Amino acid sequence: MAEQKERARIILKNIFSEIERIAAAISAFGQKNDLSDEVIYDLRLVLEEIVSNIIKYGYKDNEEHQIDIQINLERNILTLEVKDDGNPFNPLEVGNTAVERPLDERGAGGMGIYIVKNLMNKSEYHRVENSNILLLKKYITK
Amino acid sequence: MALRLKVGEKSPGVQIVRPIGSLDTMTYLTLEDEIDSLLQKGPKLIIFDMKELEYISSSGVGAIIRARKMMKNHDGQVLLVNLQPQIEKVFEIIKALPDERIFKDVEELDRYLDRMQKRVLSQDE
Repeated sequence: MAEQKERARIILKNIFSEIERIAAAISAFGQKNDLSDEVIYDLRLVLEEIVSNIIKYGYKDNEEHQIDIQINLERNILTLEVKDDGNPFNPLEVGNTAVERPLDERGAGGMGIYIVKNLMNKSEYHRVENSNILLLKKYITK
Repeated sequence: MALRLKVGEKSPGVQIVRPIGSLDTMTYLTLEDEIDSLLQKGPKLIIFDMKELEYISSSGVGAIIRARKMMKNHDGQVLLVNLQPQIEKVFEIIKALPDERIFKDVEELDRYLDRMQKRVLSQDE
């Protein structure tokens, strides 16, 4: 039996309105590959959290930048690769304090990254040349 | 996906907010603005009925947490009802469920509100 390999790519500009495109792209990829609604939801959420963080905190200038997302499904392993040319930043080093504080003492930051770490099975960060590369894997059961 | 908000007064001092669609990075400010204007009316209770909310991200949960804090500062409270499984999961992951104030459905919420009202009335007597 041939190995199942599917890829998709989403290139976004660093403006918030671009985040809307994630939902449509993930939904199309999910339907094509018979992913469950729950997995489609998780992937959309993970990408929204990462991309919104990059747009909010990633750039010192006001120039246009590209955020390059690659989705790769090989058998039951789904990989997301998110590449941006923003300030060096490893989101995986963000601690869990954001979700450990009582609700009334929480600020807005940190919860998104916690969601990403929770919903994905493996995560790695690399700084390559002038880019941040975040590699995330999720084991899929259909 | 956009966010629509239906807002109404359930009973005196009790506002009910129904977010419909997607509460996310793009839309959470709409909810925060609505809460700011609701607070002008001095409600004792804001109920978020999440029955028709399809998607929430950490920004959306943040807007609910903010509403909860603001109401607490005004001696009020926030209740959540009808959380759909995918929405509840996000609240659970980031440990944002105030468990004593979540209601499965409107009937359970109404029973709670009745008990609260009776308690207030008996204190007034």
